[in-house]
Amino acid sequence: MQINYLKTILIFLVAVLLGVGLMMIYSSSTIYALDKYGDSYFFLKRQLLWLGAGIVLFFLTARTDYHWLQKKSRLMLILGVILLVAVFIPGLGRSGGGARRWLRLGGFGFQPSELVKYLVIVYLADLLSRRQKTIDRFFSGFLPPLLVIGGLSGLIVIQPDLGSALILVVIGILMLYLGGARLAHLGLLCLTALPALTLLITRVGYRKRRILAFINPWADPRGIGFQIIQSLIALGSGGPTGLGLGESRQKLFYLPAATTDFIFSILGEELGFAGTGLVIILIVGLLIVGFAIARRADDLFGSLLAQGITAMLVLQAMINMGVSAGILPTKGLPFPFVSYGGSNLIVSFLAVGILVNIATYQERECRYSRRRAPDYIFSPEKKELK
Amino acid sequence: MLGRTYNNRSWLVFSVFICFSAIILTRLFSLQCLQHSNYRLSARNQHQSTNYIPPQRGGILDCRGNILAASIPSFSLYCVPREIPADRIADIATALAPVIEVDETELRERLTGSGWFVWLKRHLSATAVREIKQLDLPGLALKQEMKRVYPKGSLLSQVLGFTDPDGNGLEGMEWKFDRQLRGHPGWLVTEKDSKQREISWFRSNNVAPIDGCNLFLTIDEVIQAIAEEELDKVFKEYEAKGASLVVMEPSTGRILALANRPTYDPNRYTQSEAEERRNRVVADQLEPGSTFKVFPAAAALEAGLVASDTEFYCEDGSFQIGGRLLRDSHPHGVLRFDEILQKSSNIGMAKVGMILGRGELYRFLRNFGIGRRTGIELPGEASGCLHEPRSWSKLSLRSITMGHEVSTTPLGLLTAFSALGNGGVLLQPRILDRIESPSGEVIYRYLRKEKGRVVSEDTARKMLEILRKVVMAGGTGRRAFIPGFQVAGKTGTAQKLDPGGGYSHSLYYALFMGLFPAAHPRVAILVVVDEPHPYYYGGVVSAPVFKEVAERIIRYLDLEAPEEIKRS
Repeated sequence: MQINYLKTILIFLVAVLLGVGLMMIYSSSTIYALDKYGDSYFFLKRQLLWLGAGIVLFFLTARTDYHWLQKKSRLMLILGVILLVAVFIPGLGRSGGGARRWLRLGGFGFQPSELVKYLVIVYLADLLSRRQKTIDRFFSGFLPPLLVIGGLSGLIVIQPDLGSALILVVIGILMLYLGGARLAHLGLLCLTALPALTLLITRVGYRKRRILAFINPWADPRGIGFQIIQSLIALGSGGPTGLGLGESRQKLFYLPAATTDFIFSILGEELGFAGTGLVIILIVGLLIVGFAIARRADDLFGSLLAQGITAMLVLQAMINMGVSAGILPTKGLPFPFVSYGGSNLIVSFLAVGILVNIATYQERECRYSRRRAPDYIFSPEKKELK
Repeated sequence: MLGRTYNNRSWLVFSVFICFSAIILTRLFSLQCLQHSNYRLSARNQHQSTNYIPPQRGGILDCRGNILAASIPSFSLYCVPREIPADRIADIATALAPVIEVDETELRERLTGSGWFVWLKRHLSATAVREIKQLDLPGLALKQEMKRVYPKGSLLSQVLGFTDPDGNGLEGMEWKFDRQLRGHPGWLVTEKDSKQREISWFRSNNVAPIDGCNLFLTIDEVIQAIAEEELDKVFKEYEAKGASLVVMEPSTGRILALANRPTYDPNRYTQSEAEERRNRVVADQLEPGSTFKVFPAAAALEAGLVASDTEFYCEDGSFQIGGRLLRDSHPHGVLRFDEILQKSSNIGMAKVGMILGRGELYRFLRNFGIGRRTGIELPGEASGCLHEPRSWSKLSLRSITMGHEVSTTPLGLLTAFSALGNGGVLLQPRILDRIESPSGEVIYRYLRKEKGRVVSEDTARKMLEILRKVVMAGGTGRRAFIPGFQVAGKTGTAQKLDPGGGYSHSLYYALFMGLFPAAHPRVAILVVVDEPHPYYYGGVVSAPVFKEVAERIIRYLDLEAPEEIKRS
């Protein structure tokens, strides 16, 4: 019954986040939508459309045994590569803001990198759970997953979308770590990755400026530091209880990307510390539930998958909040279930669907067997003895 | 379940996330609770805008409520250079230049750039506004402002002064009473979006402006117009360098008219010269010449040293005094005291001065207000100059009795003279009658202000009797005679100081001051003509102006005195 309880809490948490998100999307977009499209419901309508699609996909994945994913993990990796390459095919890919990140699907754009993040998690969970015996070897155990991570994040970097690539690398390393990789290997990886990252940042002008602006936004308050300052003003002026729903001033064209990357700032302005605190509680709740599901999963694949998914959702949310609060450099990452945007919403629904399925699957298992499988079946005992 | 290492690592990852969320929470607490007031302030600075609503500037009116200066709404044209497409600047300049009468190349310069706000033309005419609206050019906009207008043109211009296009008083009453005229702006606190558009939803704190007060002058527009007209005639006829005319009511000190030449139109003050804007009546100091003889004479009479019929030997026109020769324009033998004034004998006056003595002369002149500001409510008043007796030279006494080595403003001269018309009591001249609030409530009334008795009523009456003879046959001011009216006056022809040193023999002030009716003076008038050509005698140049002005004022004020007519 404990698992069932977790599943309910998870769905409840996601539902509350969604509710808050829709409310804030409507609140932060009305005037912009009215100004640009002449319809104050423009963004809300589109988001509801995506939401419908997301819920359908959620039920599909929640009812599909996640072990199916394990069987198809190689296929998924290939699908991910195809999607990422397709972005560069003229006619299929769509560029926006100097980057080719989008695929055209009817009237809507889709961002493959969003999906690829989770496809990599699925693939890594499978790979790592299958190769437990060799994971501590560098060439046969550590290197293959690393190459997969490196290759895919490389494809994302050249879009260019350093943020998504970075988050992919972070989650990948996290999964390697959870999957039992040697700390020495991971340390070596970090040592080699750091110069590459530095190069990627310092060689590209806008990234460097963003970092500098993050260090001191007031150095150029009208230029690159503008967004950070506006975000801080939004959060700070909200105060403990906020200006009240719909009362945000910063959404009146002061704060750029108020419905997407900086929606959390508008939330903080309208609902105050009470609102932002609640969102953090929801995210921490998601973290606890996700890890609890992982800990109670049947097998290593399920456990790694659940942790990977949870970490991905929570990390995106935290980076988004961190950027809004000015403790991380400006990076356009959406807040799952809250920010406006179809790709992220649908993919997040898929991810939560898998989490629910992992929980459900074990629940069913428990219901029939009424007892847990012995630990040694799943645990890499040999590794433990070393 | 999944091994100890796995569990440990899982826990560690979990803990890192918890730590990170704790950091974010702390940061948010700091931003939203601890630093809230700072950010609220920056938010307010960014969103709020206080729009000032300009008050209506008060008007300046004459004693009968005729408007001399008023503010009316008008439109001004400005541009936002950054919103003008570069390729259209030339077209716009060509189309606009003739409409707003600004040079095309200059206009092009103003349209170019990256500024947010550049004035193109302030206070447009109604037709220009219509044309601009029809042209509908990009990056241009009209702003409503208040324009100061002076409906009577150059009438009383030196007194009124003018304001700059923003409504700040720069000269005259506009400057001096700027604080009263200006009023207090109202304000409107609203919030705006980042495109500077107002959001009426958030409007608050609506404070209505308080309009400026109205100034009511003692000036009578009709008398002022008479004064301007007559002064203009003499100014042109004698090709004078300048001219001034003041009309005062002796019993109250009220100034009924004050005119200067050359003059300017305050509606177009930018095209005027400083010379035209100077209010000569209060700002210029002049040696009053023979007109000044009135005051030593009154002093001698008051001191009881002479009577009207006291005889003086006038040395047949040339008198050696203090090592210098003093001459009269016409030689006289024995003259009575009243004849000395009538004929304006320098020698006779010098002797009156000698009887009076330095100390007494100085004391009386000080009492008449010579060498002091009158205290009128006009800016830039000069004090004139009267030295203390201890710094006088041997020649000073006789020079001062003839109105030299002493200087006064035209206003100071007429004020002192008016004391004789007021029974010997010196008054402070006034040009401002009252200040009224926009709703018509009197905020401040300037009352008649006595500055002390100078001579007795009897002396004053006697002096006026004597001065009546000036305008009669045999007097220097015959041309100021008005049939049927008792006019008491005095002429003056004052040599101007030569820039090269000493007194000039070709540059003169021609003066005449007079009041009437002598029994109960209603009006005192001073006419000063600066450097008239070719005639320069006060009795020739200025006395007829007095007569013209006086006759028209008599008709206007209906001052017919029947018993006077009967007697003549």
